[in-house]
Amino acid sequence: MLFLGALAVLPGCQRYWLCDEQEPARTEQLAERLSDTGLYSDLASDTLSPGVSPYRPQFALWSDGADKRRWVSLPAGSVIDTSDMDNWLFPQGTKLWKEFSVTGRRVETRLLYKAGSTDDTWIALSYVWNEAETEAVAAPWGVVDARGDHDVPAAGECMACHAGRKGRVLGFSALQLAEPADAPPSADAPAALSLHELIAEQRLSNVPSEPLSVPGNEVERAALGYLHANCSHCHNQDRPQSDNARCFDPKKPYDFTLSVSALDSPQSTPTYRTAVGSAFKPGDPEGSKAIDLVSDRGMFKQMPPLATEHVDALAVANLRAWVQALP
Amino acid sequence: MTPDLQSLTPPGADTLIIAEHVNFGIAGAPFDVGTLSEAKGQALSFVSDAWYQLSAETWVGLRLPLIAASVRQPAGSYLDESAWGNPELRFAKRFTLAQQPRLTLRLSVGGGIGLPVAEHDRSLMPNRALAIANALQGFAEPELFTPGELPFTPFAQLDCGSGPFRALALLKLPALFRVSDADLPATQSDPHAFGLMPVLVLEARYSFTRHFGVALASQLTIDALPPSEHIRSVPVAQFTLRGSPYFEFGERGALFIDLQAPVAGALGGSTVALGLRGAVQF
Repeated sequence: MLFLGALAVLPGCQRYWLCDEQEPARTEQLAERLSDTGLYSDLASDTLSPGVSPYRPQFALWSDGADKRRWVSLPAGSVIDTSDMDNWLFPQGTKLWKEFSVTGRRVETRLLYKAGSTDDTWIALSYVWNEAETEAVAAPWGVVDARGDHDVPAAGECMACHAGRKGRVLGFSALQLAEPADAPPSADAPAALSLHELIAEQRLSNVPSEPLSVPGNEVERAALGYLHANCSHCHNQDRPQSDNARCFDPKKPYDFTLSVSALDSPQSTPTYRTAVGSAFKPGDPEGSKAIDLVSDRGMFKQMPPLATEHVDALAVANLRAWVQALP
Repeated sequence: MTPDLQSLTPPGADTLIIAEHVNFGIAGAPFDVGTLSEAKGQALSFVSDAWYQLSAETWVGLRLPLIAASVRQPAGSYLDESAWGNPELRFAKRFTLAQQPRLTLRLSVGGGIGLPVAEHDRSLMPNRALAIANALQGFAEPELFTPGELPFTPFAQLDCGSGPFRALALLKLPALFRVSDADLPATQSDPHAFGLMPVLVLEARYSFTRHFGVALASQLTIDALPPSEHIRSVPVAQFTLRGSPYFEFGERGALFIDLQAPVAGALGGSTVALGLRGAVQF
């Protein structure tokens, strides 16, 4: 540990965990209060603004068990450039929100806003709810242990994950919206925007040529979906060029993307092509480095490395079952 | 602690002692801001120290702390930050209480006046870097690493030596007078007007040869009057152990290699720090 500590402070050495601060001038373009960001027409009654739609990805990022709600707002009449079906490019003015609740109480709502026409103009900021949940206020430097042990990321940390994808948006994609999430619609989570609705509303420049379905049996689909939602924003072979906001550049050539063009069979997915046999040893969960990493939390040994302090036991159990069954 | 006056054999007149204390390691420290209740990360601290001998037993000195840190952000990434601590002007006088062929007993008394210029910022990044540096040393140098404070630090040191053995006891009383809020947000913190954190160090040294020896030290920092109201419940004392092989180069210099770790207190048991203390006499 001492040696690693020394490495950590030596200038010039490769420190993938070192991120840049989001420039204050960018953060200051966003409202100070959540109620002024355009999400709600009436925050007190939880009434969304016109043009704001809830959505739910079929595979969710693990956030230590926090409950999440998500919304998107596309500028009126705008179209998403979907010429690359794995990397949607959003119109200027697009906003996405994600709300986190712990033990039934709202903790934070994160906002992603595309301020310009290019993908390096995305701005990220988290808003932290007050005790009475009557308002949430911008927290550009994040919060340690909000409502227990939930950590709210600093604005500069958001692009550690989001800048690993060309379009910066992770959970709102063709694959993620192709099939409904497991949870049925409810008062808290009304019917969500789907790929089908986006096509019907002519919001996509290109449409998938055939229905998108994750291949494999239930265990395989869950494993591939978990890796896509939790790992592929860093571990993919199509990362954009660094724009100084990005960190956590993996050196291993793994790719955990569920690519729209590679859904014929589990074996055709990038996960099987790049990680099965190396990070995942068929029939040997104990000897699989990737399972070891997702099963642990700590300063130098955990995956994903950010925004989680608790192991996703369900996902680990499923990954183990998947690896055990691999031929 | 830097080697201070005791690292060297009694200097002659018109002596200048230059010392450098480099410390690096990983630490987590309580941070008294509601939204950021912990400062965590890796840090490299440099404390440059000079003593000038005014008369046979009187010195004037200056300390200048500089920190380079990687500060952990809430979600787990890191940001680099560097910051100056509070420079300190010090005075010391030494009294020889007893001198026999095989035993010398001396008392050094003195005090430091810190300039309250430690860096701080609305991002609280320099503040957090300084807190990490303070934690690396078992919170024993609050006068150097607490921004927004005007420190007065009286100290007394007793040392006695007999043959290859040497024993030292240091007591210092850093009194911190707040002169600014150091950018601590008013709604998230409660800075106190006055803070007091006594530090007691007991050290034993044994010289195997003229040039090589080993030192073992225990250090106790008492959080008597914290400079800010604690956000988290933290123990009132920090107990730290330090082991140091050291090398002495005649009367001209000394180099200590420190490995220190907390035994009990707010740091918990997972923090270690490696340090180098070097002093050269001119």
